[in-house]
Amino acid sequence: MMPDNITVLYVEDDQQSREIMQLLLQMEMGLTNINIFADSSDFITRVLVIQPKPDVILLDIHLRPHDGFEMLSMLRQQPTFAAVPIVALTASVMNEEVQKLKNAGFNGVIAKPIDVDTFPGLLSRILHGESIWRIIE
Amino acid sequence: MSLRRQLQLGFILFTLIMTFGSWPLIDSASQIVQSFDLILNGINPMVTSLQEIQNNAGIVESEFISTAFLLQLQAARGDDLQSDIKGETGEFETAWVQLQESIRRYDQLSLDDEDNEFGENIKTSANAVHDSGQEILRLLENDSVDLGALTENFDRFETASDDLRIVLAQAFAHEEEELVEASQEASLIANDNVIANVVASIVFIIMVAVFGFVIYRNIIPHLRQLENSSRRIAEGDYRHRVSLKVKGELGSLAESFNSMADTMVKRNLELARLNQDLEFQIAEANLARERAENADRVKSAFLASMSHELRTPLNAIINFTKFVVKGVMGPVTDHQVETLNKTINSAKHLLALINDVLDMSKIESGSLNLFVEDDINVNDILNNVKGTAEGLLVDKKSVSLEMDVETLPLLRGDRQRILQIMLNIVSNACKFTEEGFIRIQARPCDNHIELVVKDTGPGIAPEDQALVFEPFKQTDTGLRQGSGTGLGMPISLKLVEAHGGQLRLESALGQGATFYVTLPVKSEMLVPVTV
Repeated sequence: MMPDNITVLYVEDDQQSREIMQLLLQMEMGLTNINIFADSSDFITRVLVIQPKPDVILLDIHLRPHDGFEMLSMLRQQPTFAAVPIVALTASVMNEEVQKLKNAGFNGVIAKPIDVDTFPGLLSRILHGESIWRIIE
Repeated sequence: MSLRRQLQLGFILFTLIMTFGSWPLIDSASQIVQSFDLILNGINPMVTSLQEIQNNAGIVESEFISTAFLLQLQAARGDDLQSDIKGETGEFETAWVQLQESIRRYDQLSLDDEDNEFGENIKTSANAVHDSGQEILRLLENDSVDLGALTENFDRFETASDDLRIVLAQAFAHEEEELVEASQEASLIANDNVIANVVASIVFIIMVAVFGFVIYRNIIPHLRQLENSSRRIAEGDYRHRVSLKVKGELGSLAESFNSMADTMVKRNLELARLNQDLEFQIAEANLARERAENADRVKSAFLASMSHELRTPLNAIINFTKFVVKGVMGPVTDHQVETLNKTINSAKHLLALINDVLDMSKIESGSLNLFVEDDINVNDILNNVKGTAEGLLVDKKSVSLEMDVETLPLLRGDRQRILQIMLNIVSNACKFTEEGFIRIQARPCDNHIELVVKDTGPGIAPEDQALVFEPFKQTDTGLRQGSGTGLGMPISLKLVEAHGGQLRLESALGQGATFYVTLPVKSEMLVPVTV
């Protein structure tokens, strides 16, 4: 499916969501390089010190001080992250918002609540360069 | 007097004056004609006939002289010239007959008593000439000439000839006099006629001038005033009125002009008032619209935020429970798994409710936006639906799922919404069917596709069929089933309509139900999202 040694970064301000993602990536998918930020302060500084560099980045949209769009733009300005898949993880899945995400340059969106059964497949597809815009709950 | 009457009267007067005024002119012209007629047909023939008499008298005299000469010649030479003399005497008599003839013509033509008198005198003299001439010729024929008688007759002949010449001269003079008189008369009348013509022309010109002046005086200034007034009112001086105090048409024109101006002022006021009302109403409507739009924005924002806020804890509930079920937290018993799955299903139902309420509120506020893409593979969507249906039918062994799906053309539309429509219909079928089959059919059809979902459930009574598509209404069966939001079918209907398609239901109680979804392959009302 996917290599076990990939590095994942997840930024999320909700404690429960962070815990679920931790369980999902670690217990279900057996990943070890898991980086989770609870806020977006000093975002780019903290991202750049992650070793090895994240292979995929999952961003919550509604958080402070920088929202998902700002973080995306900061990452895209870094040459090293120009081609890294960045996925929005949000509970706001109205068409207008999905459109905004697409326009901003995200590689896809995954809706909350996360379906733990389909999530590994989606993540794999994203790592293979696919864009995921339609998530059926 | 009204203007019409004035004009009529003026016209009649004018006509009368013209008629009677021209009568003397016609009369004098006819007099001139009469004078010329007299000259041409009266005097002229008289002169001609007098000339004829003169000629014929000359012929009589010359015939007499030549006869007398021949007789004397015979006497001197003693020749017998009898036959020549007889001929000459005959010519003298012929000339005499012609003279008589011309005198008779003159008598017939004679115009007055004087002419008659001249005629008598001519006749007397001519007779005397003839009688004496005849007597002389008779005396000359005799061998023995009675000189006394011959002399006497020669005297008579000369006197008569002189008398005839004199009478003729007098008659000529008389005719000349008549001619002069008639010419003078004609000239006089013609002169009068010229004067009358000049006078008539002057009278005519004066009348026209007077008539024109009267019209000008009575009409033009009033018309000017009216024109002036209408211009002033047209320029916006609505308080201006015509102050025309005349009777007749112009007066009533002025009155109606004023009442028109009054009406206009009234209308203007009314219009101004209506306009003000309208502006007020527009302002109010704008305010109301702004408020409504604002309220709509607030509502949308609220719903979006609520959806977000509800989904976040549901994420925790569903997924933590799932991890427990999976045994991530430690061993669980089957009974615990069963209970935990119920928790998960309830949470998912709550999630579905949130989604449906959000959709319905978007539909009702008209803010449902489709995420339109080209090249949607409906066969893929149907496979997805099939998977879900199989999951729902896991515990219903007596219900079979049949797929009768042809390859469909790629569609323009909202992928997730089409899936939502089909999931709504198929999951309803799964929910209500306890025995038999659920058949999903799909076929392309011209420029649209037809998706059919047939089940062998309890069916829907005709009177309940409309309820199926109404929000927050469920049929008795639906209510007994105890699950569902009552929003699935109304949302599906709206979504199908938003795609430019149709959704209809065929069913009877106890006969199962068939839902037909028709979607255009490339609806013109859909515009693909561009990135």
